Amino acid sequence: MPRVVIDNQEVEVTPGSNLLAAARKLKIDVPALCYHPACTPNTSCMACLMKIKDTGRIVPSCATLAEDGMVVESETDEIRQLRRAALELLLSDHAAPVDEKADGYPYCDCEKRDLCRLRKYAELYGADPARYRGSQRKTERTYHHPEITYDPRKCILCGICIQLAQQAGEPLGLTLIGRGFDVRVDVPLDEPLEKALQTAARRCAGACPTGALSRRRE
Amino acid sequence: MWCEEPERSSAARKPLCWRRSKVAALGTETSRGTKVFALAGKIRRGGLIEVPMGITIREIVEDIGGGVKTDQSPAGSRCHTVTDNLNHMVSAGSRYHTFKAVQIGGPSGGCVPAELADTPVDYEALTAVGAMMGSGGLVVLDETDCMVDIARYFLTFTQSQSCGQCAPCRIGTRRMLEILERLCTGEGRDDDLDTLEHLAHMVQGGSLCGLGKTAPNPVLTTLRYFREEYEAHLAGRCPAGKCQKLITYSVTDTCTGCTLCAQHCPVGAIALRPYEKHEIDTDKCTRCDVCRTWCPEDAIKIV
Repeated sequence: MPRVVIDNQEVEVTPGSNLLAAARKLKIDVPALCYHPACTPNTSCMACLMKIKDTGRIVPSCATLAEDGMVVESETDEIRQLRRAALELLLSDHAAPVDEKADGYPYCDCEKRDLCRLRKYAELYGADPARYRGSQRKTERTYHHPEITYDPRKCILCGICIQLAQQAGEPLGLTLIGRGFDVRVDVPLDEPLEKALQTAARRCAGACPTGALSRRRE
Repeated sequence: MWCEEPERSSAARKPLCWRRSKVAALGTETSRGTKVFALAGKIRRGGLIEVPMGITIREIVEDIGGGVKTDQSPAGSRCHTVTDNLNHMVSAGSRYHTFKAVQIGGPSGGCVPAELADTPVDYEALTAVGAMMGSGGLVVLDETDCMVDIARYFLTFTQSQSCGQCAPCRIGTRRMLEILERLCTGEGRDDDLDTLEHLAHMVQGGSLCGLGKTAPNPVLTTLRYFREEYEAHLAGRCPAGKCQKLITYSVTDTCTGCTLCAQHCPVGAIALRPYEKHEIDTDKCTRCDVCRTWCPEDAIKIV
């Protein structure tokens, strides 16, 4: 059983588990937005960064195997600053309206307000949604689905829904379209969302870390 | 590789084995052999060069490249026949420039200022000054090159090459580029330099792959060595006279009224009045620099 040291605390983990699981075993709350236990690591949000002390490398903990004797830093100023920057960058391209006067922080009128992990960790890390304010992704399509709603402006491109749809055996499913700043999660071949998510819709909405995919209210 | 399997190497490959043994003797203790650079920019003799590791930047620029390029105004080359030594063009139309910096390592490399031109070209020394060996690009810059514009130019490339997988690179490089574009158009905000520097460090530290980890290099090195140029842009000036939104062209008293500038202005911003000092209509002027390159008297200045 590999033993790793995270922030001077030693922990034993099952072989094959990642640093994120090791940290969670130590009750360290690491903001992993794009990680889902059923999926392969997406390494997209980069909010779960940790530093391997020996090499000095900063790695996404969700995609790094815990190896015996590893010494890792998690809750240091350096790492927390990098995580905060990743959250702030995600917020800068997120549709939630920024209203300094509102008591909520960041102010969200989203239906998944209380479940949103981006919001939760932004609050925990004191991330300022306005720091890197800039242009936003363009969204041209609107999506209709009987069970869920999809707002691409709230999407952080974690890729969880894509993998879950694939696992559920969806014939069409979802995919990433475009590249760079303009990349988006969309239905291939401009097909309707209804056709893409026939059985996995509710599961995807439940796993979505933000309010991009959410269950339609009855 | 081939040297270890001599029985399989053909005659055609033998020179390579020989070459390998000779080349390994060159270079420094930690950076062995030679390195190929694409020498470009404001250099008299550009092209592909192969140099031993440990050579200084100054030796590359001055000895191999023949120094910073002297440019000739189109008028000068037409009016004077250059008969003297081609390396020392001293016709009336030539302008001499000073070596300002080299951008080394390709789009992800850094800018090394002329003061540090004695830096040896090896992996450690280049990393220490904030640049890198990278893809072996070596762009020579002179005093007419704006460092903010250079940073913007290279970041435009790396930003467009971001695949979009990880947030720091996908959004971070875009935000950095937005700040640089603001600075180049005179719309910079007071906290932009601090935000830019902080963000550059965050993108460098937090990106998943080498593209994002190195994309901030041109920004960080220009901020480190040419911060005063960034501050000038915040104040609405471009010291190198490059950023079109921040400059105006004007005619000095040395103007002889030859009308060359007026003839070549593509937007008709200069009235064609022979033997009178010309005037530039700044509202019409698109800052294309055509008048300045044509003027045989060097009478057009960028303010």
